[in-house]
Amino acid sequence: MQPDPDRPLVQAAAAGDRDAFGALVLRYQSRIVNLARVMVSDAADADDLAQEAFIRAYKAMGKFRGDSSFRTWLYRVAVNVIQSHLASRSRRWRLWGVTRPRDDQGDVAAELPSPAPSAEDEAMRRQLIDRALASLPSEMRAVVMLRDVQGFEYAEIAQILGVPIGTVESRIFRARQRLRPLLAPLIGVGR
Amino acid sequence: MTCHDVSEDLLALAEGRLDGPRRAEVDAHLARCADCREAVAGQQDVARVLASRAALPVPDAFAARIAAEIEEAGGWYGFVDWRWLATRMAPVAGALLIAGIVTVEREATTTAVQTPGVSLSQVVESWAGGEGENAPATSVLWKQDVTDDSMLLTVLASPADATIGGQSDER
Repeated sequence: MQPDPDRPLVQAAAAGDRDAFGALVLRYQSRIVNLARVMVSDAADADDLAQEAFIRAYKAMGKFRGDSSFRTWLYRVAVNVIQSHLASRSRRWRLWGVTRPRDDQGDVAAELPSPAPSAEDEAMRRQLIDRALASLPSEMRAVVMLRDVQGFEYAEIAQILGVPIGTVESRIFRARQRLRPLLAPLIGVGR
Repeated sequence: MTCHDVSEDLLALAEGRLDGPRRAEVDAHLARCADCREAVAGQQDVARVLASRAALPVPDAFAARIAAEIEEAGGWYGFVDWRWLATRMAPVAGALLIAGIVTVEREATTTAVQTPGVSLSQVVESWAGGEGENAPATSVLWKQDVTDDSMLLTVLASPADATIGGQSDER
């Protein structure tokens, strides 16, 4: 097992060094914010959840024993915060008899940018990917986000989500099968 | 070898994680199975597109807001894990609540029994007030040295139209 590159900062932060924790925030903020943005359709909610994840991690630094890497532990905290939010939102919708708003792909092809990629198409391309991801159940969305967008190993994803590796693999496989027709307009680009 | 036999290997194959004799077996199946070839290609295509997703920029002052919140919660109470504490203390709070309810109930019962404000004779008098002088309770009240116990016995033992001392209402 490789030494955790975050260990010095984590130890300092656990001892109360707020600057050290600030350095960890800067190191991981982009990944956690992007995870939250994909998992939660509302951008403001997603940013609040990402912030909440870091604050909760700071409060719990004393409980981090180094059984996993800090990155894995931080992601686990973030996933728990996001899943709690999704669960309570789902309960509210059921309570008020509201049907889940469809964050689905819509007519992806109709909004596809021109086949020649340009800098200004980047945001549109990302939007299309995010809309395709939003059509997945949250447990599938989480695994493909962690695996294909953020590049985690299967064992690490299993630790973050608290499920067996076999479950992670089957979710990845099925999620990609579902995504393929939705992303078909993008698949031809840059092949 | 069927599609079902290789289905669990397609993901590993698509990601280049399948080696050795098993790889040769799966490759042999793919050579004659267009559906499985297509499934592997689909896995690779989607993974490639997702990997190309450009990260969203982090909101302005995101880290600064976190630092400010941590600073604001600088007191000890700001770092108490209230969720953890609430979970651990819930049984204690529940036990205290039950103990409090039991105590209040017991106090109320004791007070009611000991309250001297209204005697049974007053209650019976009020109850029998509409029955006139022939009502048993009213008859009892005429006697001297009547006690609550004797009056209660009279009321319970007498027929509704009887009066104390064997007097009858019947004429």
